[in-house]
Amino acid sequence: MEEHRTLQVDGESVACHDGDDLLSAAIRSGDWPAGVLCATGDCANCLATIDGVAYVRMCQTPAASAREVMTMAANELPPLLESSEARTPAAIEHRHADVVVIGGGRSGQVAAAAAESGGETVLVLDAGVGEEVIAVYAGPLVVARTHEAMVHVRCDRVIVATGSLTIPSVAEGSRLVGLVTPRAHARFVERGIDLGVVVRPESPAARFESADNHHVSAVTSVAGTVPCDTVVVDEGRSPRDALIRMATDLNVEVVGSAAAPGDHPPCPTTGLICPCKGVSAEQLHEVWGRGFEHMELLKRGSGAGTGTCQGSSCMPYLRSFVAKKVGEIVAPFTARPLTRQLTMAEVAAGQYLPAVARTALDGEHRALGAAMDRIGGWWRPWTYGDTNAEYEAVRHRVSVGDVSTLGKMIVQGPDAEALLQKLYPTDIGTIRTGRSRYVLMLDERGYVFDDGMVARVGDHEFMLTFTTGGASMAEMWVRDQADGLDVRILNQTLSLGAINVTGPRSRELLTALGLGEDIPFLGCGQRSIAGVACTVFRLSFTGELSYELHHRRGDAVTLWRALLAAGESLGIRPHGLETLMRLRLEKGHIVVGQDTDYDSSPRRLDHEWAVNLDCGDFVGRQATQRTSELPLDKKLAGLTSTATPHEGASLWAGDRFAGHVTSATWSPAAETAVMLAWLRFDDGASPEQQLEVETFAGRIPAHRAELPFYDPDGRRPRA
Amino acid sequence: MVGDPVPEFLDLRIRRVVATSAAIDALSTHGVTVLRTAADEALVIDADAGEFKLDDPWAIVQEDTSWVAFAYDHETAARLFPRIASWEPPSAAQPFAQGMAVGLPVKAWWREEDMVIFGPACFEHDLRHRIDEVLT
Repeated sequence: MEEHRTLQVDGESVACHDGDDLLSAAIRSGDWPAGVLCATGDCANCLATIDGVAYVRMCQTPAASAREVMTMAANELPPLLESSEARTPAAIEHRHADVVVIGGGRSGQVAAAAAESGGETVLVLDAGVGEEVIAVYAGPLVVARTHEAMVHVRCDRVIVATGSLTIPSVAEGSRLVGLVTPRAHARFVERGIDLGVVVRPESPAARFESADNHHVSAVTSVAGTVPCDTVVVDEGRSPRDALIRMATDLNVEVVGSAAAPGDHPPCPTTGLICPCKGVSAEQLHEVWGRGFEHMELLKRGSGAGTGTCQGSSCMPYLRSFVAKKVGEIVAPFTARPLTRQLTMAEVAAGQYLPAVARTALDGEHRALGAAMDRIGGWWRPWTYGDTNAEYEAVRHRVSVGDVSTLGKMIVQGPDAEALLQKLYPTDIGTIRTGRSRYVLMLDERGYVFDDGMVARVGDHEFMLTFTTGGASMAEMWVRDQADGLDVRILNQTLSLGAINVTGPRSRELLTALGLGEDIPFLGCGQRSIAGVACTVFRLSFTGELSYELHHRRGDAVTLWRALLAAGESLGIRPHGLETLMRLRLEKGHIVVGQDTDYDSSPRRLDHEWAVNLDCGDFVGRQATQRTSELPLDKKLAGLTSTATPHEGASLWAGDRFAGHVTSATWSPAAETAVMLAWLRFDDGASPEQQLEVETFAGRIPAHRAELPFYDPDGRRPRA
Repeated sequence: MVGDPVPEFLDLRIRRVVATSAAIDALSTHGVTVLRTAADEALVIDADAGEFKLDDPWAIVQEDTSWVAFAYDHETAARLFPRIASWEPPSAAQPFAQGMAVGLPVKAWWREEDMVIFGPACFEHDLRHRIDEVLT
């Protein structure tokens, strides 16, 4: 055999030949792992960290694929990687078959042929050609590792034909170097490796001896002591059954020698039984003596069988051990996925982080230089660079904001009103066609989990909006509540765009683009704006005259550009979310999820005005009614201070914690810092108490203030 | 390399239909292409609203411009699909399927000449990027 290349094994150069596996190359160079070597991937005696990947079996790894090898003992922890070098993602391959046969040996081939003759589609996974099955999950789902990809196979049934393995010796000295199974011996001879004097004891070895306390030099059995360099050990056959033991409750059958009961070697009195976890015969006795008197308990108490080979090596001895204790052979214990260690890349194959959605205007925002941020599952413009200018545009001229991310839904049908009456704590019957209303959504406990608008567009037709972050939950909620009602529901969140045109000159802008007859405050109607069909809602989150234009997603860019072009002479500029948060806070509008907690009732939020207890049996009504009679223990309130605290800042009444800030900003309109904050009244504190709020500069006075901080009469949006 | 990079997007005219299950069942007999996405919802391809009739007075029919679609020849699709989705691709016998692919909600439509893969336009960037990544 020709010397092909060299690689580094434990820092030493090792020559390898064409076709060598890593174990053969290492042994040829004299670097021989301790313990009985199987060369079939069953034991854990030839583990190594190969090119940064730990727990790789050298016997299963072509030498040509490796550069640097660090051998490791079976029960040793691998070294921590020194760098955070990015790993190549592992590819995924999904496959489907009626039957998966694990094992390409004779029994596997027979089983596959039988299934195929019955008309089933069959996939054979054969470790011999690099298709290494590492787990069988419910489904059944069979997971295998190949050289090219992680393979996930969904099937109706699984046939395990993995054969059997040689039971290694457990005796004094069985961790010496120079012990091999017959299969490993054949492999090394085939590779042209000089194994010296080889001995095959005809009876179980009682002891392996060593002249240098490292490499075996003699073996002792009932036949006597024989000098040697290598011992071929064979204590019988054991089914290769880890995959079966992890799938006992699944549609998995086992054929061939994997189905055989296996041999039961004598119970050892000394030696390492479980190399993976370093459990000796003496330790098993000690654990049993502590009361772990059951196969599964013995596993848990000692750790034997829980290592990298999942009991492949030690199971026959564990069963013999328990049999000697209880007088009968007991069933093997359950195995756990995986039968091989995987890299994180292999575990994550085919997995992706949640994608962040983009509105149709995403490119427009980026082209305008917007700083984008991920909010509520969407990329949104946080600012276009000058929040003060954005604020000024809204308060004094006209501005546009992308609100396409809002949840949007159509509900129509004979029972549409009945459904909404269940969903919302308001009298839906009093919403006239062409009008809309702000609504809360309550759960059964009367806590607010979302808010939005309800607009009636026909006798039995409604349009609903939800918060950006709550839209998916809201859809599930609506559909759940609609069960049994004659309604049609269409979630339009992804299919519609929405642009908020806001500011005192917004009407002027829209009139120039075809608004026609104006829409009253909280009204809605169909209009063509710049040639784009829109449903226009007249409502206001900013506190200014505002129109929300809902349109087909495909028309968003046309509409956006038309608004910016026509608004140029009016001093238009778009505003981002940072500005919007300042504007809405000046108006005291809450943001569900930011200003609310999981126990925020309308009363605690000071939103009792949005609840009508006399409008029927809406979800949360009973809880709302009951809790309205309890003492108010906390409340969302408006506060001002001379400096802007950070969101989440603590409030103090003397030395008593008095609550925390949920939203805070500097208000140019009020010329003070304004905030929403939860105030706690649960220990008798007075709502009128003197408060301090924490800032980065220390505690400063905070003063209760009536909401809103801006335009208290609400004249501007109604203008 | 599984195949060619993501091709140019197709211009599919899609109408989204919400109606009773029976009304949608009856739609496919009207000679229009119906991709059934739920018991009460379907996508009607390349048909104007006037070209089909729904036996449901409360049906919602909307033109929907919020999809991105692209087509692969069948050979390429057969090589690509196992790399992006755990579900079985559509076939002549079952021409429509949907589920998660490359971590995104995706629909697949088998046509005699090719396989159309489409998803929400709000994920266009990720869909293109992730499939490109698989292909290369």
